[in-house]
Amino acid sequence: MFAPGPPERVAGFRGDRELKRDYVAAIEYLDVHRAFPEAGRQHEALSGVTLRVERGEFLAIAGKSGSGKTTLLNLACGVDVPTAGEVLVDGRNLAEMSDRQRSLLRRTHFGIVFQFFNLMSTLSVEENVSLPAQLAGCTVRESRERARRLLSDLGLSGRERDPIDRLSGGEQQRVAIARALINNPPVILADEPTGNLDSESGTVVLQCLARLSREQGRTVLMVTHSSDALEFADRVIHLRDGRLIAGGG
Amino acid sequence: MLLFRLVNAKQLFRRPAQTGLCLLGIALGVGVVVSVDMANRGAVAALRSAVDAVAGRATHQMTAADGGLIADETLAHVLAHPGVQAAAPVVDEFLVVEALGNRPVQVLGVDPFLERPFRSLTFSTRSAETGRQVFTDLLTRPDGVVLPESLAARHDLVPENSLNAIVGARRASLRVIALYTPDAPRSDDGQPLIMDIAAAQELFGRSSGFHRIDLIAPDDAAASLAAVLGSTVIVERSDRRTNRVEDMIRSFRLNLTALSLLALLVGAFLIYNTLTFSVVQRRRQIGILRSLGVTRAQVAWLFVLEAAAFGVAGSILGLGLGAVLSHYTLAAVGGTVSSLFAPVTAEDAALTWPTVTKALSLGLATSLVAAAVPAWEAARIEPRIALGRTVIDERLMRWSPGFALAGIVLLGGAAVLVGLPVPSLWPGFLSAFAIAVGFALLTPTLALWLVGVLSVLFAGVAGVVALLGVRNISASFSRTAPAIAALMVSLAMVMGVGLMVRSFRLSLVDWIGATIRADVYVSPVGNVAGRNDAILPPEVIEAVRRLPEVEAVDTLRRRSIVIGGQRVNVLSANFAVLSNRARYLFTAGSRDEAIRRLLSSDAVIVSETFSRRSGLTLGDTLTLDTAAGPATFEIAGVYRDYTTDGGVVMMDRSAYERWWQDTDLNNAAAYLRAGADAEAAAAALRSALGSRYQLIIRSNAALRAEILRVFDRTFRVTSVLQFLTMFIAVVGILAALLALLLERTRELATLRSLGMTMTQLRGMLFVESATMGIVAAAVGTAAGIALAYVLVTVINVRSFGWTIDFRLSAAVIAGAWILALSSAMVATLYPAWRLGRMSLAAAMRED
Amino acid sequence: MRTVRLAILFLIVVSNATAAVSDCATTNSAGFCTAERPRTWVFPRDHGAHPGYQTEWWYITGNVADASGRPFGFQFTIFRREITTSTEGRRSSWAVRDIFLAHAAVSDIEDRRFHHTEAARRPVAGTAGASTETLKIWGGGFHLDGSNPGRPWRLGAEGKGFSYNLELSPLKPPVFHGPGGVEKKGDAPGQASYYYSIPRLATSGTVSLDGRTYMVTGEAWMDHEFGSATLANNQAGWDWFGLQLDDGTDLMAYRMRLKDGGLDRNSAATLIDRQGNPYWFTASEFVITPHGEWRSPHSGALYPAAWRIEIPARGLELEVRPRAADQELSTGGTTGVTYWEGSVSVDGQSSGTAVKGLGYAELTGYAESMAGRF
Repeated sequence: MFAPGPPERVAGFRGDRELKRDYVAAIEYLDVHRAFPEAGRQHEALSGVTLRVERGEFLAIAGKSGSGKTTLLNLACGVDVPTAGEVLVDGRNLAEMSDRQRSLLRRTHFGIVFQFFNLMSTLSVEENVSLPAQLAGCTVRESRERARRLLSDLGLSGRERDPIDRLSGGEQQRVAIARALINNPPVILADEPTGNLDSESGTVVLQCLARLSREQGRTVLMVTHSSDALEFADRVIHLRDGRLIAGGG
Repeated sequence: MLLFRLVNAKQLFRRPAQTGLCLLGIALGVGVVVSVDMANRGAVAALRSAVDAVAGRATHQMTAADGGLIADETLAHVLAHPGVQAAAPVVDEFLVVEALGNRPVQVLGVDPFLERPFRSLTFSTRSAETGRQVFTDLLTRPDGVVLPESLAARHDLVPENSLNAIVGARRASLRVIALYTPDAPRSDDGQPLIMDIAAAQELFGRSSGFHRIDLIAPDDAAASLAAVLGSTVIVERSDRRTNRVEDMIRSFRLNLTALSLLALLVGAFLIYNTLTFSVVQRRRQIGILRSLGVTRAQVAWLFVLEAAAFGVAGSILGLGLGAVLSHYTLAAVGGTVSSLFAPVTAEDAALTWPTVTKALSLGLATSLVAAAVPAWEAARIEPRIALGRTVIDERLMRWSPGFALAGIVLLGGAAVLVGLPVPSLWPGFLSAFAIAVGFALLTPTLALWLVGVLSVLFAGVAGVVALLGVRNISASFSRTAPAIAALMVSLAMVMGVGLMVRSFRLSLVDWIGATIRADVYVSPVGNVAGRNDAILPPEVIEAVRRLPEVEAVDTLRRRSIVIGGQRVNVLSANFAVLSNRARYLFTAGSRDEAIRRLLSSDAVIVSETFSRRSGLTLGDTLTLDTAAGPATFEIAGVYRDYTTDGGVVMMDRSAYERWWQDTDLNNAAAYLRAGADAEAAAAALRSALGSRYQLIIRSNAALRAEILRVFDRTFRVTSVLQFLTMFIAVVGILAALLALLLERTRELATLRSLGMTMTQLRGMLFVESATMGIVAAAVGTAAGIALAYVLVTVINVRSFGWTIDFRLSAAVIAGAWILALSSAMVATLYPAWRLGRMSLAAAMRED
Repeated sequence: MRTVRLAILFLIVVSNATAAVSDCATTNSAGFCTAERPRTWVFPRDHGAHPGYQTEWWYITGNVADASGRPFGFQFTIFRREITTSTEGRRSSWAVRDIFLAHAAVSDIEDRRFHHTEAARRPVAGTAGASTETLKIWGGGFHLDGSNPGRPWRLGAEGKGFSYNLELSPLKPPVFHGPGGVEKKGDAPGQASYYYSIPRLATSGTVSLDGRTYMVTGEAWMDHEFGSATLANNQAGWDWFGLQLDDGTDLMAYRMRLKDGGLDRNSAATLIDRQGNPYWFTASEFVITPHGEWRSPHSGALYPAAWRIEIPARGLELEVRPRAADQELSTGGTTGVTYWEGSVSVDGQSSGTAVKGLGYAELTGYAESMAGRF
């Protein structure tokens, strides 16, 4: 499509557990704990999670509300830091990076899709999409062009100058995906991307995400509690009370 | 009222920074009002107690109509007049005493016997024996002086101490013979030194006469006494004298009060802001309450009560703050009063109930008015869990044209008020307020418009980050608009007052250039404000004349007389000397013609202030009480004068001496030959006369500098007020930014998660804040110029009676812009710091 | 004796002992003139003021009655006190050598009411003063004017609730209380004063009390004394009497009380016959015996309530009683002294013949010791 996938991508790589050790994972959680103070005590959102997210895979993490799913995502992009354990992105320990480095990493390495879209209400569709590009130092003109291309890819041509609140939920989420893609990140993080959508719009969004993984070789890490969503993933991991309970695939 | 506890009390503490800033805003606003009120009261009390301390228990006071002394013989007539219960002559002077802080102190020369009904003169002495000795000493020692106890205590003085004093241009040695306990011990402000009348007369170089006769008499007896003595004396009730002294500083006080109310207005925006924020924050909570059956009225009440709580708490804090601030404002006001009107010792005023009541009611009323819109907004929230964007922002945007219209109407009203041909100050103040509020109402529309312009600009050039910053302003318009308006009002005040002061100063500089033309000025040290009548010894003037560099000498004689119940200075100068040297700025009449008439006939020129006050102008005649009885003078011109707002009537020396039989002189001004050095001539005079006389000998440059120094000191009070108002506005911007930040926590976290660095985030905040600053400064510039125009052309003219040329000063406006932008920048520091510490993960979870 | 009355001047500790400028023959250490030698008296000049002497006063007391016989007593006193011996070098007209203090009282015998007033002035700008040529003293609402030859003297005073304006015509010439008018009061030179009385003056005029005016007639007594003497420390006060008897004679008598309860030997009396000739008696030649007592409700002082005066050599025995008990003056505004000065009546006999009369008594040193007052 418009950008080359990661060069290390190897076909048939999925499920080959023996080989995995030789490659650096897209994201690797090593005995990660994350505790939050709650009602005066420390509540462990994650307790000793160890997980490799392989390059190019579409990994879904399933679990009920409060099982620690979102925390897992936040830790991946450095929005949150673990209480114990390590999170490695491309083999680099996030804890050893500065705030600025983590910001740059988020900007270039990750695209994030939220349940509530989290679009800027004061910006137009096109402006929302081009925002991360401009944060990364892209010129106004260049970022606008990239945004238009992405929007047309996602079927939103003609809506570029609309205010956000004139779009439907599904459209807004597609705008969010466009925004996530503008800096051509190798990893997409999606937090309940269909949680706020009807099933039809949800399906469109999930198909988008699957395509990002399968056609463009991006790593997609999605957390969800919707069983419908799990069907689109290459692999599913269940999370309960902060612990991984079963692998899937 | 479980409901109120549930919603409000906790809410106040949930956002300590918000609550704190709001309280600080009210406290500062109220504090400024309180401190100005206390300073005003303090200054009035000091003046009043000085007057009262001097007046004693007199019901009436008699003064000479010609502004001179009352002759000894008059006293016998007064004492013999039927109905006069008591009468006492008073010599009322000022001298400078080294041991009393080297400042002017009032000294009364009294006859201890005749004075007895007026003041008890209780001497605190060690024994009855020394008490008798004190009495004899008082009557017989020409250097004996009695000090008020507290004054003596403050300066560690006891009986038998010697005092070095400066009387006019001479040095004198005095001896403390006793201390006295003032009759009204509530304050020792302005309690005078007491001397025997003979000693006082001699100390001030006279052998007879006194400044006034205090009377205890019923009104009819006083009136018949005045009738019997004819037009040579003026008999007036003592309270009138006190009132006149208060009148003197009335305009000054009113101006300060008006400025302080502007500060409160700025504070009101803060309350509005905080409450609006609070409504926005609690949309969900209020929606739940409404679904549980809470009525609209109850919801509105919640916010009214919250505003009342803010108002009361802020006002109480403000009282304390004001009491502390008043220490400084009072010093500034006291200094101004001392240098312009009369020497006073303004001591720290105590908080009085009227001040407390005023502060609490002002604070409360302001809070409630500011709460009206947010409370109404809260009441409109529907009974469901409200989500999405608040309606108030949209509504405010929809309303802004209406606001703008109201603002334009107000500004029109201001223009009409300015044009009203009435002497009262109120139209001026009202129009100043109308300008402030009118422009505040225009601010939302102008802000939206400017945000639109900047959006287009930034969208094309600066990119989305800047755009976000600008758009945030309209997105949270109900919070940003008041903050902008608050900053705008305070900037308008800074610019308005700044431009007025600047215009005044430039006019003063022009005036100095035209009027202060002599090279060397000589005056006695003992001259004090309001009583510049210390005499320059003739030998001094002779010495000035003899100086080889001196080409001509002008001398000045000042006399204070009453015209139509107003005290007016009659000045006489040598117009033959002045004619081709000084250039009085005439506002009516021509200079050459005026001088010709001054020199050839009984003509006077009057100051603009006098002309405005009396309604007399060029060609009118003026009757003055002279030593030879009432005499009529023609007004040959009206000239500009900034020396006193009391009014000046000026005439040639020859006319003055002919009518008043008075050859005393107060000042001398020497014009040097071309090429002579003024500083050298001043130094020569100093070394020739300095050891024998206490003189102030100044070169032209030094005198000009001194005048400007006094001017600058006078406006120090306003600078303090400007600074405080500006401070409140910065607090307002800070509070607004902080509120917006808290409100947009999730949005900001999203931006961060999209890869925005802290620097970029700060940049966005700054663009947002700077835009607010720019909008405020832009509107504020217009408002400030309008305000300055009203101050210069209406308030100043009506307060003081003099004309100031209105001038726009780029420096003042640029200064205000810099102030606005730097304030905006400063206001982002704390919110940015807070952002840096924010936990993104936690923020993402926010509503 | 009224020398002693100058004790009333409280102000007085003379400080400025500069060189005397007076033309008097003798001076004391403070520079004031002293009364040592007999004086050549010239009237009316000697009715006037005598600058140079530290203390001088004019004292007029009298008993009058209106047409219906309603009796009144009146008192008029002006003190002239010198506060410095010189005003040389002073420019001000208000720098004066002397000050004037005045007391006045009216005793309303019938209603037992006593009115009094006081004033202090310095002689400046016509507000107070005393002529040195003739009898003319005024100030603070008080005046005594005998400057018109052949005309009655005019006397007036006013105070709160009362006033009087009287005309006085001397019925006897000035009478001296010692040779040449010198009355010795102590052993040292200068411990004396010049003192004369005019013991009878026909009096008529008006007395106003609380807005009512009474036309009155009666007789008055005038004292004039000047000197610079000071009082001894052991003296406590005095009882003084000026009595006019219906046989045409007049008696001045006083007893000086010592602090130890004894009688000062300088107490004296003068008996004046119809023609005005004086007969002088020393302390050993007459007896004054107080009896009874009256306590002042104002000051709390305990005064005698009556006296018996005897001059054995003249067969004179008189019983003197106050015509009203409360005639006490408190003079905080001028002299600061509390004393009793009041109208008295006399009953008794002279050489076997019954006599009666009216007069004035002055009692000092009962409310506080007069010693040290000067």
